[in-house]
Amino acid sequence: MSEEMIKYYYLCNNCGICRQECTIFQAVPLESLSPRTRMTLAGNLYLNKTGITKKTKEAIFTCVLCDLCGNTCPSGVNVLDTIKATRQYIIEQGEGPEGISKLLDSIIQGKNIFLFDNEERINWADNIEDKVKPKIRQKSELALFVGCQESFKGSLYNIPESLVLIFEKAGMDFTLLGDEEWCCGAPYFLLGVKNEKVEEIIRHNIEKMKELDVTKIVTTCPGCYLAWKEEYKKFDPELSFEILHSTEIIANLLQEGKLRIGKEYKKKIIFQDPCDLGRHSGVFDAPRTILKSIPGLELIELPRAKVDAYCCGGGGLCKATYPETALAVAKKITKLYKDNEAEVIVTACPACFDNLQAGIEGINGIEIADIHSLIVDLIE
Amino acid sequence: MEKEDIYQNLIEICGEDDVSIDEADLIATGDWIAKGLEALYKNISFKAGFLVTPKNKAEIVQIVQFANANKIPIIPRAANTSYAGQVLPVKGNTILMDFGKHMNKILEINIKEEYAVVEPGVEFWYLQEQLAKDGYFFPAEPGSAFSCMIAGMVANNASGATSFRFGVTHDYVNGLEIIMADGSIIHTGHKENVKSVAGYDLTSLFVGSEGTLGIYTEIYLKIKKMTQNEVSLIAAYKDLDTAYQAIEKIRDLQLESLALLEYVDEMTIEGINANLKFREKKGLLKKKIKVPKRAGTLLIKLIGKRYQEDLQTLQENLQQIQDAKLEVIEAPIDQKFLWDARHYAGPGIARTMPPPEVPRMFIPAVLDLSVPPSKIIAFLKKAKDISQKYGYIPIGFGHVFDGNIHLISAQNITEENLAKIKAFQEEMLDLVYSLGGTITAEHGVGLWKQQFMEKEFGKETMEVMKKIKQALDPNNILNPDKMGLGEIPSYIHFEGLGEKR
Repeated sequence: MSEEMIKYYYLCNNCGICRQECTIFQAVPLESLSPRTRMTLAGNLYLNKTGITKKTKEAIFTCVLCDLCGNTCPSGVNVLDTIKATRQYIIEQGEGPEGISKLLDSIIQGKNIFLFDNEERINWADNIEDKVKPKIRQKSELALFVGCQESFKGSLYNIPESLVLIFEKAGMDFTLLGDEEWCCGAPYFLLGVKNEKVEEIIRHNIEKMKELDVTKIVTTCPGCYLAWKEEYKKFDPELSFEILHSTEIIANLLQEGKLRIGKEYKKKIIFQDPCDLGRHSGVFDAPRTILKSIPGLELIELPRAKVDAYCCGGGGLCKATYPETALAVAKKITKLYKDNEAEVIVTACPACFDNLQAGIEGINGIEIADIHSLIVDLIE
Repeated sequence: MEKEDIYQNLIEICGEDDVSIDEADLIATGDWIAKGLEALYKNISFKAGFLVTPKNKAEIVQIVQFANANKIPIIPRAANTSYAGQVLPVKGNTILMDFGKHMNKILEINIKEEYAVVEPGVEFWYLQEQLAKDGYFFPAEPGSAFSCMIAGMVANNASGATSFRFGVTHDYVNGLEIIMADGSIIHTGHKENVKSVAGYDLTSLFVGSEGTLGIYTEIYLKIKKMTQNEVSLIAAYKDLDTAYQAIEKIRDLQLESLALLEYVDEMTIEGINANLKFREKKGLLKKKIKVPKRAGTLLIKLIGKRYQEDLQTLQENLQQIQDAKLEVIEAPIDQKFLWDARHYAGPGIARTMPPPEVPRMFIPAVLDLSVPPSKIIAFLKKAKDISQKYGYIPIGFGHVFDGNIHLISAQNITEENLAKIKAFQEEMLDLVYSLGGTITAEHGVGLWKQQFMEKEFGKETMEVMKKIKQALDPNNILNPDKMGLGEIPSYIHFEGLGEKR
């Protein structure tokens, strides 16, 4: 049992400001789901004052790790570290929510989160085989790390596909690992689980990139991006890869005049800042640079944007463990955006796209678009 | 009645989804003293028996009738942001009734007639957000504005730094719909803004009753038009005496736009600056703000049409007082974070040190006391001496025009310290009462301050309060043993704590 579980227990003084901030609490207003109560539950478990109950698990595993509470807590309580340590403890006790052990085993055994055959990792490129297959494991400065979600989930194939087409239009060379790409390990990091098997995954991905003389790694998934940028660098502080999100590269290409968006897109949109890209990594401008370069597009900025943006509900493995809670958040966010006259929600994250797509179901007058797929047809 | 029987009865009323006996729903959520005492002593527990989240008033009526017939305690709970243990269960099988899940709707906003009707679980900030769309606001604003709910504000008659200008919650409650301990429904006052002197003022009786007399199901509020323009000013002087000269000067000026006048001591300034630094690091401030660490510092806000003229007058006058350091804060976002930092100055101090490894607590009796405004400086000087005698260095700040001082002293909960805290509280209260003050100007009595009620009001007055409670709640089911109205548990005196864990 980690002392992280109780580190902030006596610091939180119950002021409750975190309730207003919390993505989950604002969608499902139960005290047990507020950050302050999550902290109390973690401390109570550590002190053996309470056991691992159904609601304790729900409180600890629905946290989307968006860190809006940490961003605002006047006392400086670190909710994220407490939650991760408590998740680790619950899993060690064999009490993790349904699906969690399966997910973790899948990553170790199948090298991806879905327990699919890792050789199918390139299926996303079926429509553009001629542009992708020749690139696999070819030496290049820039590598595309596709990530499990876009590699295996049909509804997300268009994200890496669009990026490849954008690269082609800009005349950019790149490589990719194909079936040698293993899950980045993010689910383990979100669960606070550290072991040799996770280290093996990290080591593998790093070695494979080094073999191709890669200096820059680009991801479309902010989860993979943060894993490479934070966790991989913790594992190997000497790691010299430059880690980029796809929106950073595209924004640069637009600014350098190597890409030009000429076609109009006359819609009012709200951009959903992904937590791992925005609040956790400080990338707010790149996606906005892209969106502002689209003629006719009207970008609506709500007070809750950028560092204060709500999570979509799909983060922190909430969707994997408590899908109904993730959906409740998506519905709330979608309604908020629609009430603020957005016609389209634009995302730059497969998890945001996936969860908000479920959220808009049955709601008329609002659509969802991935930023890569949106611009690929607008580029001249 | 056995726990299982109570559980089944509650399920019959509310359904399985809205009744819980899961420990995660029943624990004392974060109250410092409760957490600390529970962590240290085996037999102290503030766990409720049941959590219910009623969907409507019909369910509440049934729950209350069932509880009354079987003498089961009920605690109505809003956001649980009070600091006096108001919603801590002290009796076995207590039913916690939480309104946040379902009864959280604004039922009506009438701009023309300037009133609003809300359910108990509406969050204050959400109401403000909705009213702001029409240029209106609910003027009574407590320090917990970010997190509290309207029912909690009404139950505690909440107020805050702007209360000398705008008044307290009570001033904005037109009336209430209340479910009484026998399940009957009453309506006090009027929904709309009606001038009336008819009968006993029951609204006033129920406002501030801390859940001991009835359960609010609808709250009728007055709302006001917002004032748009605002500017903040930091006026730092070298000591309390010069600050007091400034306070007197401001009083004489009678500025129409004065909305906030706060005294902050050096420790508070440290907390404010820690919070501001955190915001600055996040890139949220337009300009760097650092409040000068001086013993006589005032934070001021002016709002309204005349704010610019008043700012000029104020600057001219305050500059004349010896060794004044004045700084104007104009950008709205910077003002917001300055005042947020002031609201959370106490926790801000925590940012400057490692997290505590042992339980700790605020000293409840000095958390929100108040003296007549003219005696505030005399109080502060003597309070400093007493604090030093005990080795406590509180963080002190206050709303000078209503004499309300908050002394935030976070102390480790140890056996030795508890005895010291008890003696310190008594000495401080002797001082407060000798100056004609009160134990609580804002936070309420709840669990942790109830032992002082008799000292403040006398036995006879407390008897009247107890008779009111007895008349309206003869079975003592509504938030029992709070406010000095019932049995006072020995642990309140930090005695009889029993075996250690």
